Amino acid sequence: MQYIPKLNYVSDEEVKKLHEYGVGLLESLGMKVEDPTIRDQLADNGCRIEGERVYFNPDFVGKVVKNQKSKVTLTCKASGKTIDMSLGKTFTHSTGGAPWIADMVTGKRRNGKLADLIDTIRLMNQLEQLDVPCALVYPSDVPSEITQLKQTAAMFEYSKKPIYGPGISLASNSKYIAELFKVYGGSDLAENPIGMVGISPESPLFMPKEITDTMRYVVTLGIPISVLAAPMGGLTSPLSVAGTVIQSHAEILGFSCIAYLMNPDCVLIYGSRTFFANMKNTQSILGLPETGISSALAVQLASSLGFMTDVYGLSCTSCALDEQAGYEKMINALLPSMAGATMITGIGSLASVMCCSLSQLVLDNEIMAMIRKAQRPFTIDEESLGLDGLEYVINDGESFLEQEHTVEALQNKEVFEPTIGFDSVWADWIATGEVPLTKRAGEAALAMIEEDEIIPQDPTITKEVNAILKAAEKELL
Amino acid sequence: MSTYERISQFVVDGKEDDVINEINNALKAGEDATNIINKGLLEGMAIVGEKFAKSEMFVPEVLMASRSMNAGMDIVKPLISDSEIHNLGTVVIGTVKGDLHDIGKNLVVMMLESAGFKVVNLGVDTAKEEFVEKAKENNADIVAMSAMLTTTMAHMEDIIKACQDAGIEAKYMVGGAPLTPAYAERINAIYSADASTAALKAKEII
Repeated sequence: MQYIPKLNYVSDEEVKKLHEYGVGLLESLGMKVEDPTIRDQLADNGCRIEGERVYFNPDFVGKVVKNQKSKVTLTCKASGKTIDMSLGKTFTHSTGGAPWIADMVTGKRRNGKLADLIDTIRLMNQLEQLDVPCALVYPSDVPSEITQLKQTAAMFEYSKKPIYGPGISLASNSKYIAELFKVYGGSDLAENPIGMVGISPESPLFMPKEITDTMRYVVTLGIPISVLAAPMGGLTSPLSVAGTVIQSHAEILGFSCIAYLMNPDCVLIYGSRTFFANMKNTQSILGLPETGISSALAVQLASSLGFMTDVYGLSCTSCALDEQAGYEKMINALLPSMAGATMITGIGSLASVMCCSLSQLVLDNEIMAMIRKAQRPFTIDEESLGLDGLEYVINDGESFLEQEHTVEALQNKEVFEPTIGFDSVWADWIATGEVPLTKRAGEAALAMIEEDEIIPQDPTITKEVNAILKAAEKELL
Repeated sequence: MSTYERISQFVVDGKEDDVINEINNALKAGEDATNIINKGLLEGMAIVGEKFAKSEMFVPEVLMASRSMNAGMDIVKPLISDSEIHNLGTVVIGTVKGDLHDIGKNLVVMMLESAGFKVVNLGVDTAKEEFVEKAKENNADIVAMSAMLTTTMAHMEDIIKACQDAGIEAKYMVGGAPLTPAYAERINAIYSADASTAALKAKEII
C-alpha cells in the first residue's frame, strides 16, 4: 500500500480532545434554535431546552456523527461526468456568489451579470483541475429575491460537471431550487445526486428559523449539503485558531443533528470555513495564513470522525491578479490539501471572495495542479526508481534521455508540466515576447470559453424549468 | 502629567478601573465635571480615533478605550446638565432587513458616539418601517444603514425612498462589505468604508 503524504497539525490524542471540546460546547453553551418544532424534536432525543437554547445530548451527537457518510458520487446527467468523493481524495470547487468580476477588456472591477456567470460556468467546463463548479458570479441584473434560484438554473443548464449550487440562505429560494434538482435529477435524485448545495449556520452557535426552513427543502430530498460554518476569529469566535476550529466543529455538529432529524440519509459534508479578520478594521479577509492553517486542523479533526470536508481554499485578500494573490492562495490551499481535505474551495476568487476573474480561474487551475502533484504518493520499487535505466547508462554508455523509463515517467507525469506557467529559460522568455502571466491566462480563458460547446437541453426539461422560474417570479417578485 | 492628561491616557490604554479612580479623585479635589469630560474623556477618545484611523490600534483596543470612556461618563454625566453635553446631531442606524451582521455597524455606533453624536441603534434585521418610525421620532440628522450581504443591500434604496416619502429630511449613509461608492451614489447615499471614516463623514455632512 502506498504511503499518502499527510499533514497532521496535532496528535491523535489532541484531535480527540478537540472533538470533546466541540461536543462540550454543544452540551454546556448549547445552540440557539429558533424553530420550536425542531427544539421539541431535539428534546425528544435527550437534549435540554431552555427558551430558544438547546443544550445537546452528547449521546445523540455521537449517534449522528457515527451516521455520517464518508463517500458520495455526484453525476452530471447531461455529460455523464461523475465525481466519486470519499475520504482521502481531494476535489475542487469554485467560490460562489462574488458580486464583482474583473472585466476582461478593461481589467477594472464591475458588477457581475448573468452573462458573466454563464461565461464562468463554460470556462469551468474546460478546466481540468476544477471538479465541481459553483455559481461564481452573483448576477446584479437578476432581482435579489430570486438570485440564488437563477444561479442554480444557469448552472444546471450550462455545466458539464456536477454542480455545487450557490450557498442558500433563503427558504423561499430553497423551495424552488429543490424543484430544479428534482427536474434535472429525476426520480433517483437521493441515490444519484447531481450536485450539492451549501447552507450556513450563524456564528456563534445559532440556527435561525430561516436557515432550518431552508435546510428542510433540500435535506428531505437527500441533496448533499456542505455545512458552511464560518466563524471569524476574534469577531464571531475566539481569537484562537484552534478555538475557532472547535466552535465551527460544534456548529457543524449541531446543524448535523438537526439535519438528521429531517432525513438521516442525507449526505453532509463538513464545510468548516474558518477565517480571521484584519483586527485593525474588522474587515473580513481570507488571505491570512491562518485561513489555511485552521482549515488543515479542521480537516484533521473531521476526517478522524469520518466526515468528508470542504474548506478554504484558494482564497486571497489581494484585489489584483498579482504575486500576493499567488502566495496567499498557495499556502491556504496547500495546507488543507496536504491534510487530506475532500473539497477545496476558492477557485476563481479575488478580494476575499468579493470579486472573481476568468483569468484567475485559469491561474488557480494551475496552482491546484501543482498541489495535486504535491499530494501524489511515491511508489518505491525498482521499476519506478528507474534503476534499469541507470544500469544502461553506467554499463552501456547510453543517456537517460533515450531510456524507456524516462519516456514512461514523462507520460506518467513524474515531473510537473505547467499549462500556463512559463517553464523555460531567459532566452526563451525574451523570444516569446515576455508576455505577462495574467495576459496569457486571460487569453487562455477566452479561448477555452470559445471551445466550450453547449450541450442542447432536453426541451421537456426546459419547459419544466421555465415553469418553476415563472412560479417563483410570480410568488417572490 | 495633569489629572486630565492622566484620564485621557487611561482612556487610550483602555484602563477602565484607572479611569474611574482618577475621576473620583478629581471630583473629590473639586475638578469641574465638564472639563473632565472634554479635556479628559473626549480628548482620550479623540487620540484613539486618530490612532485607529492610522491603523495604529486594533479594534478590540479601541473597544476597551470606548468602554473606559463610557465608565467615566457614567460618573460625570449626572453631575452636569444636558445642555452642557456637546451633541453634534442624531444618527439613526441599523442593519437592514434580512441581515444579521452587526459587528461593523456596532463599531460605527461606537465611533459616532465617541465623536459626539447621539446614536439610536436599531440593531439587526431592521425593517424599513422601523427606520422611518425611529428617524421621525428622533428627528434624525443622519439615517445610516449597514449590509453584509449582496442579497440584502438592495433594501437600502427602499429605506431611503420610504424615509423621503415620509418627509424625513436627513442625510443617508451606507456601509458594508458588498457596497461600493458607486452604488451609494446611485441610491443618493454617502458611502463609508469603515468605522473611523464613517465618523469623519458624519461630521462633514452634519
